[in-house]
Amino acid sequence: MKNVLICDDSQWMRGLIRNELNKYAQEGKNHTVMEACNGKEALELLNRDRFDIAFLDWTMPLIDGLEVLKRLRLSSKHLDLKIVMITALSGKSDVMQALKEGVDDYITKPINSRQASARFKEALIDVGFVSQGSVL
Amino acid sequence: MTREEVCLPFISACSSIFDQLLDIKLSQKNPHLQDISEDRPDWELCSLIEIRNLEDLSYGYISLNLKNSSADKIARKMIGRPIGTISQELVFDTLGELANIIVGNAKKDFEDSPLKISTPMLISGQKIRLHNPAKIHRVTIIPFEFIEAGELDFFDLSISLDLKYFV
Repeated sequence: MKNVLICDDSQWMRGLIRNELNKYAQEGKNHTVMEACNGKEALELLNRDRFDIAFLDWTMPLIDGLEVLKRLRLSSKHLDLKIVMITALSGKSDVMQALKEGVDDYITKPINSRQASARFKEALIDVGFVSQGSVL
Repeated sequence: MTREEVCLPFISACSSIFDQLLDIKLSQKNPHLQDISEDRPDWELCSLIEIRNLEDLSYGYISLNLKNSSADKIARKMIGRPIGTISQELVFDTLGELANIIVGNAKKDFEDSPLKISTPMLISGQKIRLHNPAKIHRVTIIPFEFIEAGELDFFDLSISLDLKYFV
């Protein structure tokens, strides 16, 4: 059973990420996908339930993705949580800042590029959501 | 910094994101300067981005302007469902994200510059006109055309920068 959190203020983007997940979801294996539309909601869900992987947008209302990342990395409760930033911010300094704060991977929007899909799949393999030999 | 240097990353981001995300090839028409008081198409959806130079007092705006009909076509393509089945809220959400992705991609070209670029703000309504937002009298208009579902469609980027600082 794998638990996934998608946090993005855009309903469209959450749907797109969910569709990507569904492509890789393995038949017969249960997984839950929860959604948050801002950083505050994401932190509440992450502190309440156990997740294997969180996809975080950077620019969001109330609490932004970088601040969520910082708070999660300060807490021993989330040591095993894989955090992947999915954001439109594609500058080197943005990537470096997120890496410095402990993000596991950084995917630049739009997520339909070949490179983004490969990174997405890689992240899902790491948490066991997808098996290594998956053809997709 | 020149006006051209500010515009080019946005033009390039528009073209590449439309191509990559929507599989739409944009055709850029000749940019031209236009008096702010002259008639322009009655835009119904604008994504407004503020540009501010942190080293001096210069500032300006870039807006991506659309008619509702084009906005609907783009949203339909992004969502993958007929427009009648999509709520207006989702159309705005989708186009807001599109603008966000375009600006995010353009921003990487300003990493070593003192320019601060805001998150885009989506404005909708009838006959939107942005009146002299940077206290200038002329705006640079960069028109784009594209073919979607066999129909010719268009939008433009309007650039208003403070001419005292952006040469």
